[in-house]
Amino acid sequence: MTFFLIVTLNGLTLAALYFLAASGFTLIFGLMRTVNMAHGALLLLGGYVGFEVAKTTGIWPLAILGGGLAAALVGAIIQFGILGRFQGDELRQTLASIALSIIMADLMLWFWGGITYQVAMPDALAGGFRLPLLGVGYATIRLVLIAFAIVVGIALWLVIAKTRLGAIIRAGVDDREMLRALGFDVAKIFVVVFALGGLLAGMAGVVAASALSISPGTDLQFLLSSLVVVIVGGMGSVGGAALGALLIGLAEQYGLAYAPTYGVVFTFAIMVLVLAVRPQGLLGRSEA
Amino acid sequence: MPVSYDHKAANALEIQGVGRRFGGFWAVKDVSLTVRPGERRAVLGPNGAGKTTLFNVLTGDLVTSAGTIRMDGADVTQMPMHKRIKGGLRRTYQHAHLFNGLTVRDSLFLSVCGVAGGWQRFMPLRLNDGAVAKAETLAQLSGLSAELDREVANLSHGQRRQLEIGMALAENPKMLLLDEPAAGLSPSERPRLAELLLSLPKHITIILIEHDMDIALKTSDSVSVLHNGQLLAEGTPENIMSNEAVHKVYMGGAHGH
Amino acid sequence: MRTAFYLLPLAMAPLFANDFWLVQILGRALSLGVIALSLTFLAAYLGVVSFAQTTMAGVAGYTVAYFGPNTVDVGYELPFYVILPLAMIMATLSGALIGLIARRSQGIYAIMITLAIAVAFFYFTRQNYSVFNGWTGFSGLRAPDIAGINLRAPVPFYLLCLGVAALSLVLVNGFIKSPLGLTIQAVRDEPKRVLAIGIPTTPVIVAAYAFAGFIAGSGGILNIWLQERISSFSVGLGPIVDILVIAVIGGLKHPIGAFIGAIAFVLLDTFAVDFIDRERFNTLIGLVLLAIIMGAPDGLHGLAKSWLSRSAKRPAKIKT
Repeated sequence: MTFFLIVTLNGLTLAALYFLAASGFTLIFGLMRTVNMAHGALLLLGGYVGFEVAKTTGIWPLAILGGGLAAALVGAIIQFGILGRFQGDELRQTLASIALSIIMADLMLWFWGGITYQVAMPDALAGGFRLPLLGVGYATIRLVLIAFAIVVGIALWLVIAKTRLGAIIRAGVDDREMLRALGFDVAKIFVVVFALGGLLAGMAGVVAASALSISPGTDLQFLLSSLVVVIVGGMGSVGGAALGALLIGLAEQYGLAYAPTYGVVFTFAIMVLVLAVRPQGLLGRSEA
Repeated sequence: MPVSYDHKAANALEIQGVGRRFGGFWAVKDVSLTVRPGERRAVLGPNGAGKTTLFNVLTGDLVTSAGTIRMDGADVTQMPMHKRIKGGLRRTYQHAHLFNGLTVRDSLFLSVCGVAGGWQRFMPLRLNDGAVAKAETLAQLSGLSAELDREVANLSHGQRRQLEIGMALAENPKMLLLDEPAAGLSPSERPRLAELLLSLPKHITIILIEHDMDIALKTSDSVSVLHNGQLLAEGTPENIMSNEAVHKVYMGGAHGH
Repeated sequence: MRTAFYLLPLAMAPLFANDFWLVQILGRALSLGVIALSLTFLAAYLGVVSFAQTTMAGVAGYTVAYFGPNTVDVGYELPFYVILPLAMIMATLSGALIGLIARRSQGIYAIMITLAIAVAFFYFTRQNYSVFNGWTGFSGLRAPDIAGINLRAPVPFYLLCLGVAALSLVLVNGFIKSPLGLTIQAVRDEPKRVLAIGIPTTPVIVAAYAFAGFIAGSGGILNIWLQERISSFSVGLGPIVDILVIAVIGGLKHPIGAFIGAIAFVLLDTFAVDFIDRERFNTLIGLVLLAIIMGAPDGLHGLAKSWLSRSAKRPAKIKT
């Protein structure tokens, strides 16, 4: 029973990480129909920058912020300089973002090398935490991670539901032409949203580098998890990303614990099942 | 009206309480209609009356939210679209949905294969393939003989409408649903369309959405008027033209055109 | 015929090219080109960019590895005349299955779903030892002797690659003119209308993917005979992206683009080391890809075509 609960907790941790990674991806997709294949590279960049900030300043929250801002800046540059030129040509955007992710991954490998990095955490988070009821220790950072994901989720929901930017995003998801007709500078909004997506990815990268570790390959790992999460949850829906992350995170950990050889099959089976029953994803809206 | 038809007993189309909902909005609500074999029925109504949605439900482009649809006496409410097509139903679209990357010949050829079978063949075609000959006949019928080898993307608007009809006529349809076939045609092209419609074999049941009153009334022998998704009136063209309620919602709304 | 025009110098290559060029440049480019051709076919005629072509090629490769001679203790050896058809059938079936899963997805959705399938297969091969032998995979794979010809020797192997490449191009060009091929293009243009002429779309899409699986499978077999090994890395993200890069660089609009892209890719891969640090090859290929996407969306084939038509027009134009 304890084992099961620990596995569940591990699943929730992983789900939190997947949600953080996928939320920015789905946000960008939701508004501009851009599949940003460089999302994983932004996440890894955030992780590396976060590591550097933590090393220099020793302040963990500053590392999160620094990693997030670095990825936000690069994201904005990508949208402004390259992807924004082909707005509406989704296939070309997707291919261009693949090219960018190849370049970014290689340059990061050049700069940071092939070794594994872990962001140093404040002492308060570094240790374990004795869980009430269960009576077992659990890494504090993982619990913080779950809390962080919930906070980000709520903040994102508030931004989308309550703010002007959120209203624009919601309107844009329904009808991008309408935004243009209403006189909004759509290109600028897209850059802002891309930066927001980058911010989320970068912060997720620092968190991943703290709770686990990062190295070349982490970018692809999180790009793929984000893909699966949004396919399952529904593309463009933040709630869907949360649901998808929960399903995939738990499935992966249960798979790892109870059927280690075929863990990946569970994830895959969930995706195929969802596609068969609801091609638009669990909380996604039909394109037709 | 003398009609010779295989299924004398059955109506060509019989729908009962048919509705289609989008979210909380009923685009078509509680519509019941009966169309006899060989009848020419015009469906009129202002924009947004639910005419095209009704067509989409009849063909299976959209699933029905309520009611039953019977064609030739058989319940087709749950039948997938391609099977209804095999059963003799054809349609054209208001905004032409055509195979832009194919030639006129190939488009008509596939329309024949879709109903008669044979689209699954993966060996290159023999020159004397029967379906190709039928495609060429269809091109003649729809006035596209000179354009057989042109890519559909390069056709003029009028030619695209002709191709829509040509594809719908493949393999002896029993019932044709024509969604504004005259839309976007020049005044000189319109009489030719009316002529084409009148020349179609008399056993084909035709249901026609058309804003061009001239074409609609000339080619049909009965009229149904939709308003806000519901059936407002039904009758002969003369009846409808003198109907007060119809005048109010439809003819009144026609000022804007 | 135009095909013969291109084929003749290639068929005579063994007369003047050395073994390295025959096998490592031309043979490799042709076998990668065949796999990329399956992607270009889907992109040009079904309108779907599939990331799962390496997976279909890998299914054929793994079948040959499992049932053929290898130096790991996994598998069950069968004669080659059973293995080869079996591998092609398996690749075709894998294509059909992937098509069935992705049948309702178009455009960017299809990209995401085929990518997810491909990577799931990669992880599966890495974790499964009974059939795929985990991340070590199979080594010591050898092309057979057929009718007394040793297919491992450079010239026969090169000619085999050339033959398979030419045959698959002919096959694609014939298939797209068949009724089913036309129906596939109709689904690309207007899936709704395909239903409206009485044709269900699912079997059409599945057939297109299955055909792509067949083509990819033949390239996959050539590829493992060339590499003499297959492992999870052969179906991992690296090769998946390579095939995409090849198809995009060459041009997704026309089947020949796959081979143009493959030649360009292999030349770059082989000789870039003379210009830049070997380690930075990915940056180079990324920049080339980005330049092509931004400047020439129809790839090298599109560029060549527009240059040819421009230079053909030039004499008629008089500068004032």
